[in-house]
Amino acid sequence: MTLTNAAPPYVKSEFTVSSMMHSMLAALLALLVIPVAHYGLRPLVAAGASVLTALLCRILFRLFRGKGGSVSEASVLVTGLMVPMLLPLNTPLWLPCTASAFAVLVALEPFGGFGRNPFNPAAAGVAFVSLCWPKRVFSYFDPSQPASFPAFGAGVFHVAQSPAEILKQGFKPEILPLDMLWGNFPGPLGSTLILVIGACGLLLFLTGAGKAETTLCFLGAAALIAAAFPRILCSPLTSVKYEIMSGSLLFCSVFMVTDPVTSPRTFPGRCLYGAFAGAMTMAFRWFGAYEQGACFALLVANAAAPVIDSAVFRLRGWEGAAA
Amino acid sequence: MKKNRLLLRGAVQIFLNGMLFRNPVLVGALGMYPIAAAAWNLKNAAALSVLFLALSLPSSLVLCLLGMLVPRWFRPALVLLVSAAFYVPAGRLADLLIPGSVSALGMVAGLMICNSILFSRAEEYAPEHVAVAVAADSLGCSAGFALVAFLAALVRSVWLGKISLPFAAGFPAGRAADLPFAGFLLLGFLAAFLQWGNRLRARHHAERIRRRMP
Amino acid sequence: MFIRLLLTAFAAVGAENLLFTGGAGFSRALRCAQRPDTVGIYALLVTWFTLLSMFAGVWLDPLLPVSGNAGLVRASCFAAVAAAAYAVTFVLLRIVLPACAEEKIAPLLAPAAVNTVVLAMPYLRRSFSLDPVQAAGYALGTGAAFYLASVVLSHALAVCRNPDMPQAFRGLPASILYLGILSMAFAGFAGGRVF
Repeated sequence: MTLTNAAPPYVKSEFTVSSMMHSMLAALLALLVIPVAHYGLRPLVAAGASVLTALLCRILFRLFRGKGGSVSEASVLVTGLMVPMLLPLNTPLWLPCTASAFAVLVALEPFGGFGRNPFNPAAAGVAFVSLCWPKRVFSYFDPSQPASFPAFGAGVFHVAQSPAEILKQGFKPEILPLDMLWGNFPGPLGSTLILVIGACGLLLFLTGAGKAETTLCFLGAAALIAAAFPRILCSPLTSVKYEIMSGSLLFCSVFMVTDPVTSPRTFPGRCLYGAFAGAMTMAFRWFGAYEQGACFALLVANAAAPVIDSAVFRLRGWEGAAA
Repeated sequence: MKKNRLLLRGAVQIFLNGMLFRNPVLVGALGMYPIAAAAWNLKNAAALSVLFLALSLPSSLVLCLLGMLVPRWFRPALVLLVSAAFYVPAGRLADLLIPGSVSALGMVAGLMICNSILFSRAEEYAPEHVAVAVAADSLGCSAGFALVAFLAALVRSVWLGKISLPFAAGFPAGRAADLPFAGFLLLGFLAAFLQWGNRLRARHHAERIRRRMP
Repeated sequence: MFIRLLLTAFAAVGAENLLFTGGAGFSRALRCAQRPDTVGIYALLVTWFTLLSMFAGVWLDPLLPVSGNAGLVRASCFAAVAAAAYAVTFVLLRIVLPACAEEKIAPLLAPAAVNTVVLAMPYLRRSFSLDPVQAAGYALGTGAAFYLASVVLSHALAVCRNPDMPQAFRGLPASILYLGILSMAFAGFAGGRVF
């Protein structure tokens, strides 16, 4: 009998890889409903352009390799849909397309495609465009002012500082933490809808598309550091509320850090990984160059995941290192 | 005469291996730092290439002469000392040919003394091969290093908007191409391209041998 | 004093990481990663030589010219000191260690002593204006960063050889891409050039 090492994600019970990807897609699409209701077709066009770019890049790469498409196309749709959620709505369309192209052509396909990628492709794509065009990536429109976004072309809007940027400068945001729950503040497209993200998280955990322990440890570590080392003069609880709800921290904790391919295989491993990613996110917020560091932190955590797995295996007395 | 022809053919093969088929950067994963950190414009690439050639060739030839005379354990120290000695004239040559290049390179110029390509070729290859082979190897590695440096510099210059391509008019220039990560990503794709080329070449070579067999 | 040392060491591992943010020393880290059983000793030796190199910078820097043609001599002097450090360490280890231990460590000594991470120390000391305590912290932090990089890469090498990968990318090209993406992550600390 020949035993072969299968690629992650490793799924047991009634869930399948396909059902996980579909749950993820449904959750991401749910995040588009409110922006479309407020701003028209532009959010859909941005998401569509990003998804199309990701798909095209994948198909081209596979054709170049002499291979056809496969069932795991849904994973590329997830990557394509995740990228614009981490970018402002007011960016030109080529920006999420560039991020998606990078995600597929550099972080996904060269490593063997879905299941073999060591890094979260969406995080890699967004990190890349953040470094190349930081002014565009971290410039947000003010939702409290009139704004219009045509489906294609540049929009008309006022620019405002996001709570994450204000925290980075060491000041307290004007918006109250409770008001942030409604999502009416400057920030990335899909990362400001706090309540929707929470609901999506519950959906993903119940359908098995994500592991709750990773998210909880991520948020726990971030909250602990925010409480112990607040960036602004306020109570620990206020600091925690601002840090969790600003930027893309919550979005990453629900959608990205739970990626079954790049996260560890064991329960204690996932807890450690989540905590490490949360701590790294806060480290990037404190010491990084940009107001948001969740994507960068996630990439570092992805690199640490096999090391964490290996350490857990060794502690349990299992043979061999991570494959 | 026949011996000289064989020696020349061998030297040409060694040169081509160093420059392309066994490029020390793309196949050996050596000497990546100067390319990743500094080869983001053509002036830097030129300066790095001049420095590499001016350090590598004399160092390798000296080690070819002296390498077997010193204890094996002392060779790394000798390589470093010889390379350090040749760095001053190499730096002056680079500054003469490309004014201001050495100071523009900063720390990267000084670290060329311990470049891993130079070190491995001078320490392992040079003492155990004849001078012609050593010279061919050094020239080939220098050409290979220069090729990769210029390719990387060209792509990164376009990315930074310092060189504009006619078909990309209006595309906004990015930044961050001068950061090491951009160099590594480019090196990864160049290495993949060379690996693909080498595999194709090996396949054709095997096919040719198979056809010749009775 | 200890706090300053510790903070600089953390900076050397994080925001001012010479390997990931600066791109130095990856050729050595990759080779170290290919032999996971020697990672610990290799990293220890690198730490030792970075400390020696850093203190050579502390003592010699005020005596050496910085700019112009005379400034070229500076780099040569630091390299000569590194060569002397290697030779002295080799002789000391030969005297102190038993033959079996020396056999294991001797092949790692030269690569650990002669690399861009070690020789970059005097330049960084000047660039960051580090005092002796901070310099020691930075050297120790760089050694730790080298260890972490080698451990991470040793696990990454298996990922970069999987059968689903395009053959053109299998092995070294994928490893270099892996390095690039990780370096990109650390670039989020600095945002621009640090070194």
